[in-house]
Amino acid sequence: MIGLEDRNKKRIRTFLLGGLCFIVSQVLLRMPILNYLQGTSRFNLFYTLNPLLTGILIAFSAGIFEEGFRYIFKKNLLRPTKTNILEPILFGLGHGLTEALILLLPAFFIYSLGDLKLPILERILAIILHIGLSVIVWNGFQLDRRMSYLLLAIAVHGLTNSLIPILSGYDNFIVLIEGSFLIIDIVLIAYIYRSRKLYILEEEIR
Amino acid sequence: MKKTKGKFMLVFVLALVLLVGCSGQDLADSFDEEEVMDKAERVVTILNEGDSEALLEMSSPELKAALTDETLEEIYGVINEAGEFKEIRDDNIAGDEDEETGEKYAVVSIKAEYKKGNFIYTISFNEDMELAGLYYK
Repeated sequence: MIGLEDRNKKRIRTFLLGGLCFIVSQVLLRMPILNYLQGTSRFNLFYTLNPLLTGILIAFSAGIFEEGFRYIFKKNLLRPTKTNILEPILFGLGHGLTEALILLLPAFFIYSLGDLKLPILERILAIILHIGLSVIVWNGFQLDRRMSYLLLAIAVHGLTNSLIPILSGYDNFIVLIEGSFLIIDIVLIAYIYRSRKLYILEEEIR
Repeated sequence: MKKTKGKFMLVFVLALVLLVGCSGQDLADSFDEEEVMDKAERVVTILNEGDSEALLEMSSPELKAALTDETLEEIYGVINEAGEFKEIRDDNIAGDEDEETGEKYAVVSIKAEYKKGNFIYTISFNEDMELAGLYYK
């Protein structure tokens, strides 16, 4: 029997681990590696000669790092394996909100709220994406097909991010990119809703 | 499961190799690698010295048109802000081809260290060894 207080503690822990996952995978690992590479002549030469390919590889590197660590966190820090759907949702929310805070907080000191409407909308869409990606990774654990679902999450993350370099040449880039993210989010929300049946009910945990 | 894991690792390693190891096409036979590298390093020296005359002299007609006095002053201003030039840290060379015209280029990327930071110059030459492109960051 798990009491209400314990359940709330577990939820808060899951949410915070989501935030920690972003900090470890991006702030502590991927960003420094990317910064190092961007400071080398070899990377810059490759980027100059292959801008689209470089953009797509960078996009997929975000998928590999973030989904890889989402998987590691679930496997090692979030037990039991079979859980209720609130766990990936809270984890994704923690991950996405931490990213939003780190990216947007400095801007709040410079710009007014009105100026930040579009970045805030973009972050809300990104948070929904992170929740969806967490559900994909978690589904692998529920179905005992962990690697397949990890690869699926990396592909969804990488392809979504790849839209940025792919669409960046178009005049109405902002509309196209935000519209694409919205469509991806709608599909992911439907996916999350359909995934409910793979999870155990909260009452069963008690 | 092991097979999928292997595929995942293969994709990951290939992506890294592609990102870190490749530098574009081979240099066309019409270029002499040593000459290109020497001339690219000369461009960096010229920029450090703010020698517009020398820079324009080695530039292609298209680049000459783009390098107005105003643009050049802007470039020198940014470079001066980085402080005293120390050394060239590393450089790489590759070939490139204009898909529309078929013209071949030699492209050099140079990392230059200054007192307050680094600049990465991307310098390209056409087959007449004229300076055809100049980017810095």
